[in-house]
Amino acid sequence: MVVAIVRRVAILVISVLVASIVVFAFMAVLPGDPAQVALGVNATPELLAKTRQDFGLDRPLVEQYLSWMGGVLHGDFGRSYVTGEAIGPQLLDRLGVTLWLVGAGMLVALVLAVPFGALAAVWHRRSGGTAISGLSQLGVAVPAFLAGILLVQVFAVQLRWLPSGGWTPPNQDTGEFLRGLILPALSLGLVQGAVLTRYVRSAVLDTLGQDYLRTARSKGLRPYPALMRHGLRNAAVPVVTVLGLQLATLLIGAVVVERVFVLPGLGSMLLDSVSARDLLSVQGIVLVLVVAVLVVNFVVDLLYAVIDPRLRAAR
Amino acid sequence: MSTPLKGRTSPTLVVGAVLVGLVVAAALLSFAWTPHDPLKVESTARLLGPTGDYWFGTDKFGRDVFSQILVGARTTLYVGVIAVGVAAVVGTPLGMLAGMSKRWLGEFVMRVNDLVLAFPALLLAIMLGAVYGASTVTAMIAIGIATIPSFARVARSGTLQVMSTEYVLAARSAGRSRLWIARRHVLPNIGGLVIVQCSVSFAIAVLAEAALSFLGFGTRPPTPSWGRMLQESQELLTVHPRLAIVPGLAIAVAVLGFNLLGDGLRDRLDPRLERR
Amino acid sequence: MTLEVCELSVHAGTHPLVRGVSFGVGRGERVGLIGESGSGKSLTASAVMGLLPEGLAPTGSAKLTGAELIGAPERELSRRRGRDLAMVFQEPMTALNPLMRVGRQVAESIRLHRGGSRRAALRAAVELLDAVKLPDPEQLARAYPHQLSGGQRQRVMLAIALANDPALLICDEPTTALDVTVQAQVLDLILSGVAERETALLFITHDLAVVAKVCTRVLVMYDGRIVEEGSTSDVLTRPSHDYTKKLLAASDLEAA
Repeated sequence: MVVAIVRRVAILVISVLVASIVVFAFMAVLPGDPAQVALGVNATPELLAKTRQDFGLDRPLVEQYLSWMGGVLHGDFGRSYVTGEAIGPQLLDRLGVTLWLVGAGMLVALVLAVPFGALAAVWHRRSGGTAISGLSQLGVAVPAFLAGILLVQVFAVQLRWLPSGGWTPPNQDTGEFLRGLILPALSLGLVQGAVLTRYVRSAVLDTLGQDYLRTARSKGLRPYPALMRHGLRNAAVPVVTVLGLQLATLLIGAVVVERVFVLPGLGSMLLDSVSARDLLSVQGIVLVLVVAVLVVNFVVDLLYAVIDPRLRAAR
Repeated sequence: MSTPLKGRTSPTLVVGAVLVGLVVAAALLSFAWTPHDPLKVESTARLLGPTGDYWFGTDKFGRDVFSQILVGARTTLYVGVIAVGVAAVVGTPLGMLAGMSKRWLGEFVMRVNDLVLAFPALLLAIMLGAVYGASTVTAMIAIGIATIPSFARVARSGTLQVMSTEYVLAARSAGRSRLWIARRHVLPNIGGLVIVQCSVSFAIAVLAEAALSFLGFGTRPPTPSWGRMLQESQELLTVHPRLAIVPGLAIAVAVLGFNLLGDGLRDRLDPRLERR
Repeated sequence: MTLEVCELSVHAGTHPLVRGVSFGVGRGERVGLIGESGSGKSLTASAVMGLLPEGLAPTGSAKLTGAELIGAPERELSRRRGRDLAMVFQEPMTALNPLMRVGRQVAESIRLHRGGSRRAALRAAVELLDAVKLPDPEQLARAYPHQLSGGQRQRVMLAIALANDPALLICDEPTTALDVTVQAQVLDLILSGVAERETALLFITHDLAVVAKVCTRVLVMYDGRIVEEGSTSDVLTRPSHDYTKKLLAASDLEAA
């Protein structure tokens, strides 16, 4: 078992390194001169050359990459070419916001998908099950940002129950923080919930046909307790796999939702940096996002092994 | 009591096909005729409700919403076709290779696959947009690249199944080359899976393009795009909700259509496929 | 008469799968139900258990120690299953929950009907595992199904089935999926298990050699109907129905 874990960690580390190289190479290929962008059109050639030297842009690419990665591993993402501020601290703050959003969104999605998906499976021949399936199909077809726009319209503008945007840190005012989180989390979660519902449904459906459920019934368990005690954990296995993939989608969905609700998250930082041609920031943010996805997949892999003892033995 | 699954035309398939047909028809129609020029700014006709002349009304620039929807269908389909095309053409052989090769090569390909998966479509599009300036083309390519892993996965798992059948085992012991087996046995058998994946990925591509246009990283103005129509509708939502509902509905119809089509095809093509 | 089945039928819509089956199994009696696949043997057993697949409806009567099973409310049936009647299925591989430890699965049956603490139930479970001659039962109770062999899994199933000393035990091809060498052991365990408890046994199989070993009485089923019945020796040495004769001819059984 230890061997399997070590192997997975090794793969994770290699993937992160390769990803960092890809991200760096991508940014290095960018046409345009960061020094020029920083100084503006009227800069003299001498000033430009000096600035390029200050930024370390005259060094060979490999050296630039190593110096950048070296800093990153210490938490130092460098200083923005455009604003001159340290990127790291801002990145961290913004990452926090995005994580709250993604976490809340995932929570909403699970709270919706698990019961509804299970019901849809148990009722798969009845109209109730078809109705849930139909609704989930509809939910999948709606983009998260559309859901966001509509929710804002109804709950923030018309009913004035909730704020239409903005962010309050949790330690500053928990009440406002929660209120500001509800609509964005719903926008993300409703759509993700629809996607997950379909997966939960098929996982539970599969489980329903399994022999061990029949054994459970023959012991004297009623249908629902049998499903709860024996089916759920088995159905969780394929769902957990999907969860990892969905987390990546959620992360990106958060980027869009942050726009709708004006949340100071990583997504909006990314978009702003791209518009401002703040390449070093873009580099750092993209790296963080990609690593986040890789780490999530790694964790899901481990979780998989925890849930299913069959996977613990070999490999 | 039992209906043969193969050849059964489920309502899912029909509804999906109809919805997709609607979108395709709209796009095709837009080449021949639109009620008004979708690009024409008509300052006297701004923000009109639905009238006989403007079936869905006009937007804040006085442009006809219906015409924009029709031409926007073109963009949606372009992006979908190119993105899915790229993904299928690159991903399927990759997956087949992974399924037919020795252990470590297959593993390696799948690891690379996972790495590509770590770069979601939107991220790639933003990155490409940063380099080359955002446009429909960058969106297409980014979504296409991001979709390759799905096809590779599906192709690989299908290939693995085919490789273990008796036909293939017989062919291999008869000395048939890998290429021959791939062409004769694997491809026809995974064809159904790939088609289903095309439909499903198309739906995802539509959503991705809409999101990108909404963010400003997709189709540039003034070319009509459903996603951008949604973004433009934001500020006027209270007074003119129709400006968001119409493109939103269009997107939903397209996505729903392709998803249902994929599900219906899945049921019809092979009962052995997951009966989800 | 522990089990009294009278005119039991199972229909899929209008299509009859089991037609007017009637038989009885007395206390401590071992009755075999033989026939080829598709004859309706398993469906008959499922109908008695009340576990028919969706879409199939039973009619007629099946009384266990006097109380009617067919049409009884699910609440009541659940109470009786695992306590008064139990079943061992064919596929040991899939019959056990792969994610739950074996001992706990046995203990579940005990706790369901006898209550008690988890620890007490587990202790009783270990005893049961010992009774079915599983090696090192305490260690084995902590194992997962995939770590056991087919024969061991089937013994666990037997332990679960006999846990609460049921009045009726139904076995549906319990040894068909096992190796020949293991088959004999499991069959012996079934025999001793029901003998100890004076449990009525309904044994379903298509293997005539097994029937000869296990059962005193035999019912031959064909196309949803019982076409012949009698003592094992009578039916197997002097078959009267054509189908029985065909079955015998097709098997390797020699006249005893």
